[in-house]
Amino acid sequence: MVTNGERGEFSIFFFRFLKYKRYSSYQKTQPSDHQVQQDSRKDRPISSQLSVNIEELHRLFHQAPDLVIRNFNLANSKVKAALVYLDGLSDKNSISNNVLRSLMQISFDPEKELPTTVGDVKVAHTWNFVENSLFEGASALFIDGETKVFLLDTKGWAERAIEDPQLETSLKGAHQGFVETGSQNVAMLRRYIPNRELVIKEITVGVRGKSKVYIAYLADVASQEVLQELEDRIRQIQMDTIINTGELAEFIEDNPFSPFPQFILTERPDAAASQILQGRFTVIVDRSPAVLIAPATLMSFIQSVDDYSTRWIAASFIRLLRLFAFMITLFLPATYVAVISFNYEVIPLQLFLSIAESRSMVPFPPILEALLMEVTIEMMREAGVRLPAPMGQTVGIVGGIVVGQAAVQAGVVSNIMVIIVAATAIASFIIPSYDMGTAVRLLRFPMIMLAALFGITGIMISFMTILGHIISLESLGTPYSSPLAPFRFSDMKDSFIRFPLWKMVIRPKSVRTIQANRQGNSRKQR
Amino acid sequence: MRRKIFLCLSLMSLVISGCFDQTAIEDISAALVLGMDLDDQGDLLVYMSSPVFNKEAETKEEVYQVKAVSLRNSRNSFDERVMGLSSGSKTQIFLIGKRLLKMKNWDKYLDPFYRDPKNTVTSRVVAVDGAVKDIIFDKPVDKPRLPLYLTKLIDTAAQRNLIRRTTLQEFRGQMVDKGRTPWIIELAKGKRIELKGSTLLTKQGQYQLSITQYETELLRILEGKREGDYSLTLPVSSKAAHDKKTYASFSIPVLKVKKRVRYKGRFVFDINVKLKFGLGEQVIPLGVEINSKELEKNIQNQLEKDLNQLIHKLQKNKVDPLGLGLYARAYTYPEWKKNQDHWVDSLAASKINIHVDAKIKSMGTMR
Repeated sequence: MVTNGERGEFSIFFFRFLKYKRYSSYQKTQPSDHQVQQDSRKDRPISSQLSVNIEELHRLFHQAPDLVIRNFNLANSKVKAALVYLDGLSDKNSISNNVLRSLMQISFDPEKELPTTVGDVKVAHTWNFVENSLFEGASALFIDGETKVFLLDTKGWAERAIEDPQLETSLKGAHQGFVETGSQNVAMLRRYIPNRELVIKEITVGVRGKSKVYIAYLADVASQEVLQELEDRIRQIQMDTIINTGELAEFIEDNPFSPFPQFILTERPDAAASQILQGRFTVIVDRSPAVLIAPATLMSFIQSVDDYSTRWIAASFIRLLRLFAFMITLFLPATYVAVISFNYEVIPLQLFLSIAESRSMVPFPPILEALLMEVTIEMMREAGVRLPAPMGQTVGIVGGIVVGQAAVQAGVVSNIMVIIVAATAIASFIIPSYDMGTAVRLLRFPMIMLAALFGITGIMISFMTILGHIISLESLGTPYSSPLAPFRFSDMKDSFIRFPLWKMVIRPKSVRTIQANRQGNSRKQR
Repeated sequence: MRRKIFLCLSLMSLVISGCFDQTAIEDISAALVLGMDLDDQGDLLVYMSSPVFNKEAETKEEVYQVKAVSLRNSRNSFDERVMGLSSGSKTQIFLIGKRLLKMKNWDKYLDPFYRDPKNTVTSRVVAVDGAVKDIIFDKPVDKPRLPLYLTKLIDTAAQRNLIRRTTLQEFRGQMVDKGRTPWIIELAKGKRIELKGSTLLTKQGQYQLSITQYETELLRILEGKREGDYSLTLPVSSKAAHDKKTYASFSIPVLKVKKRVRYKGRFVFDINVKLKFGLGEQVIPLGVEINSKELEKNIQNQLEKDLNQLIHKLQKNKVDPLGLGLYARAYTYPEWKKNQDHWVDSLAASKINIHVDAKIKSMGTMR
């Protein structure tokens, strides 16, 4: 990992106070006493008497109307048995056809093999295991006189169909997105990388509601060091439960006080697969359709899957356009404010006259005018996001008329300001990553304020601060600003300009892969 | 904790220290045109024309004339009259009246523009043949506001090399450098505002000579600058069309000027003008055909004659707008050193040979 010495005195001086202390003594504490007690109680062995077990079940799952206990006699015998499952988490079809029918009709020896025709049967001896399996949708078969419980894989719950991810639609990429079931998501990755080196490491996170987290990576490519770091951070989480990948990202990111996202969150399996092939890690969180990709660099946020399926010249143009949009979002409103309140000398004469003319009607100082408009546009954006489509249109129309026309006619804002704000808003939506777009949109506010305080000097101050921050930032201990600082010449092939694919022979160096080459000589000489 | 307090304090100091020199764009009365002149008593008059940014104002321009002892002194007088803060940061045009031009060392008044970096040095210096007030109070109805009109007028004319655009900064160079004398735009108002070629000043900044638009163009050719295009119309004599008036107009797409200097008891300059011209017009009677060789020769001779005349005129008037002194300094330094303080006299005594080599580049799309 990068040490402070490598990072330079400058960044230490400025950013140390922003640095988050990850391994605090608080986080290292052992599981609480309460927890330990609960666990030991659950870990009691299963009784051989069915009635005792049923009683225990009722005690464990008090107030659980969805717990189904189906009592029956095994086929051709008086031996009592009970099938227990949680309604809604298990597949009723499979239970009645593959489990109950065979158990009731075919006689068998419980010591040997069950006649059920489900895919997976496990045997449990303790309550802890039984409980967890029930929550995962398994059915538990209790047989009178046995101290073991058969756990039958009858998972089945309501699932969303695979759809095109809304936030990251692509023109030429695959039209499928991750869903809310972790195993399904793993399968989607496997479809893209059918290779046994694609390793999926399962970690359980959450104290109350355990959620499964899978780290997928290429074992012979990805760096063990980075993997260890990622795993350590995930294991450190002691939380009730992880609802969403975004939550996980917040727990494990390097600098939580940074405005910039340090991991890529994507819903696209093709994007995730391509990142895995580059030697990165993918973290899949069960119950969340978003997948976390680490380590990330600043440049990776202006890349999109479409770049690789478009011809490289066009893709490069679009990349440069995105970078330009990034700069516009960050600098345009601030520059405008700086120029009209301090450094009006730099405006060409004609523009000077037209700006001054439209400004002369506005009763507010430039900073207030700018903030007013920027906040309005942010409100319109936020209002549009949550509303259903038909109402969302209304917001657009009302906003367009109010902001675009009426405000100017009423003399509240100037024409030029409307143009600036509109251009900024459009530019901010060009950035393919939603997280990065939000970060940049947020950053322009302090920039506007500094511009209003110090003019162009203020813009330079904020620009240098942001630059310094980006350079000092890390993602999983790898440099965030990578192909630029530290400069990696070969990585530049996939940054501003997307070089032809056959030119990108080695994997990104910033990822620290074990295996450097990703292709041989792929193009036939002609 | 100390760190947090430090952070808070520095944030507060940001807010306190900022804004102090903030001036919103609409609060500026930008003097787009500044003028200086003398009145009958010989007192300095300063003129200013600045745009008014308000819908309610009927005329969009405010023009004032104040009496002042200096430019910076006049700013206060303007601030007493105009709406916003008067500022020289966007000054496009500097008008100098004829009366002031006849005064020695009038350029001392320009000091605030060189000293205060808030003022611009890119404004165009213009000599007015007449009084500044005739021009600055003029409101042509068929033109945009006067500053814009004048700026465009000058810039486009400079593109055709009818004038030489001299900015304040260049003007200072021309004044200070011992090897040259100032060369500025001349503007006059007859019935309407028009450009009149150039005004050439002496080392003291005094008015010396006005040259016409044609002479300015020739001077630009001698300067050897290939910027914009030239459009010259010269009479051509031809055997085929003896006494009839025949003219040819041409542009100069290729121009190379070499100046060489020697010292043989006096300075001897060799100026080689090598140009290729493209014919743009031929005013000859129908049926008459001018041989292209003949045309080349005609134009070459005519140009050489006119250039020689112009050089003699400059020598006679003891001005050096071309900066021939710079060449003398560069190539004959010992002699230059002796003559540098009275350079224009030495130039008047020197010999200047001009040789023109004109070739046809194109005859246009018809024979």
